[in-house]
Amino acid sequence: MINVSSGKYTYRLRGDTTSVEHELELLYPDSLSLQFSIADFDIEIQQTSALRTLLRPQVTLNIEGHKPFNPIHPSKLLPSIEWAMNWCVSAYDHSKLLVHCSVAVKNGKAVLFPAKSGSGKSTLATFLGLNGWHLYSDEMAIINIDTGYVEPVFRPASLKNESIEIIKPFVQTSEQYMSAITKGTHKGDIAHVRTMSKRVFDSLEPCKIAAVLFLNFDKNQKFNVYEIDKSVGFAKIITNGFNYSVIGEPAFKALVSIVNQATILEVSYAQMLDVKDLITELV
Amino acid sequence: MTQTGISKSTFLAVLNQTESIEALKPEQQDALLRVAIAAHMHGILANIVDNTSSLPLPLTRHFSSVNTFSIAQKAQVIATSKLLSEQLMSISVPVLLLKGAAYIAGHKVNAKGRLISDIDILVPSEALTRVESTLQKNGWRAKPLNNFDEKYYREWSHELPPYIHNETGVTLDIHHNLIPLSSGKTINIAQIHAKKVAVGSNLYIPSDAYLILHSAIHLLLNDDTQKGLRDCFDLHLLIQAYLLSGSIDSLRAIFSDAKCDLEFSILVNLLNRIFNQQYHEILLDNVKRLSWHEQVLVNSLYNTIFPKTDYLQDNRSTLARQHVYIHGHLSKMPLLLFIKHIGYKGYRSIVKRLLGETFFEPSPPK
Repeated sequence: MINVSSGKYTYRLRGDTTSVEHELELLYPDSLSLQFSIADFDIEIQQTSALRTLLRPQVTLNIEGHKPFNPIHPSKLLPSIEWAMNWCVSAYDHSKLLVHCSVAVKNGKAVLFPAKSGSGKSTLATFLGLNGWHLYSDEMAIINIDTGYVEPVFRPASLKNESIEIIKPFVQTSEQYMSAITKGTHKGDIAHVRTMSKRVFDSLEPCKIAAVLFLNFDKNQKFNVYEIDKSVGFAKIITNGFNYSVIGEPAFKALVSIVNQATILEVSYAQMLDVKDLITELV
Repeated sequence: MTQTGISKSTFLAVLNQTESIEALKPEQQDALLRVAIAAHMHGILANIVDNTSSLPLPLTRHFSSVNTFSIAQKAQVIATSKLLSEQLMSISVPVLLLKGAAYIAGHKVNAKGRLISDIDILVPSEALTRVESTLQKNGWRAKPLNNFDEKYYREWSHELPPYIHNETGVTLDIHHNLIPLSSGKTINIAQIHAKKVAVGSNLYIPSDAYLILHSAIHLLLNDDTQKGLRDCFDLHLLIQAYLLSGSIDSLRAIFSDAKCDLEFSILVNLLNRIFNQQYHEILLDNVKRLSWHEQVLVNSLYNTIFPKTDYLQDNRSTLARQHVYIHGHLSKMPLLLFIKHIGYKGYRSIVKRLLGETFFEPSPPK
């Protein structure tokens, strides 16, 4: 059993964790514990069948009695654990407004990149996290409904396929780390990136959302920025909401004030540096 | 890890509010949360706790989240029921809600924090074709099934294959009877319709006695008992509330009419075994005494209603689960059909055990 703390939630991993322990130690420094503590979420690594322990072994993740993912070979466990950790929060935490996006912070101001997976939001946010910004999350904005502030979690970013080679050169300091690549998952090759030390993470505070950027990446296009209407921006954020309709009215009110105070842009880009320059002006 | 877990009696004591969560050790509080989630009962637990702020953060956060979720789900049940009642009004078919949706719409004692996974309705069997075509025109589609399951639903079951709403994703189970056609038992559906209680325009729930009968049938004739404890808690609260104004005789008569005298007795014995409340003594005096093998069945049921989880002590129940599985099926279908059914399901179960639970599921798109 290993307890993994993301600074906000505690995850208990049970079952055979040997294949992931080394990477977890590097991705979650000062955040793993073998001591009992009450966990937010319980994730058990289970063998799918007796025969399969010997022949074409498979494991599956049992999360609080649910098995939302297909079984995988034990060597592909790490990305599945990361996805399971995301799934736990989006399925069970309705005390915060959760929006599917990456969050980068500078000067105490947050920029949100709402998008579905495969849009390049993680690549850009990881790039920012390794270049003077703080990566609050590469998967979801955790928003306090009362204050409208976005809260940080100590979780690595997940990169897919060609993004891995793009980001690799930027992982330079001892506070940063890129995991070994897990090849051939259902999303392709996956690597995880820690962009800061636990000490830096502990200094982070919840912060105000200054801008929301809807990104379109295409390597053959010019850099283009459009300011979009607040109500359109509001609607687009909702389509990326995990629990907007569950929370209801308080989520509506929180989002209205966020949209009113934030700059909302649609950005077409080919170079991540262009986006970095743009948002540096916004914070 | 020394995994202590929580005993069944401590879990039940918290549910019955004779033990407070604060008084438990941290290991027990953790196990309580895990068991409650696995039993689909953490919403009910969250409603029992008066003041969550004194509890450890993971419990406080889960309880407050599930409260939010259950309020949203109730709103969705009410909105969907209203929509259904309007859609089926156009073909003059009344919508009679069952189970969780009925408890919510009827504000029953057991509705607080109770989560549901689908909406169940009962419609007259002669209206089924019209109901299906009306729903299909209004954004509902039938869930695709394999041929065996489709045949099971259409020929032997008491409900249609589930429908799903295209936009909201709500699952709808359309029943035309409360008991599988193959069980040999029949419930007087006309009586259920005659005694139904209006909760809205063209929207109804069964009378309290029929709510209890249906919940009991669902529990005792079901082979899937992962939510068994939740169902027992429903029955405990519903019967307790029923006896405040209704008589034991009238409740027993409803079970008798459905040829479920034995089931009533098994139910009362089971509830007494689990919750051991004072009102059970009066009930026990008024039901058929159980033979030894019926007592064994009560014992097996007791051992299977708790969810499968490592956090519950003394929860080794494979034999009991098989006993309940066979009993559940034999009550639903004649022996020959059971053999055919078990042949098919048994083959799939062996393959799953050897090659993994998801062996029969289609591969995900690349």
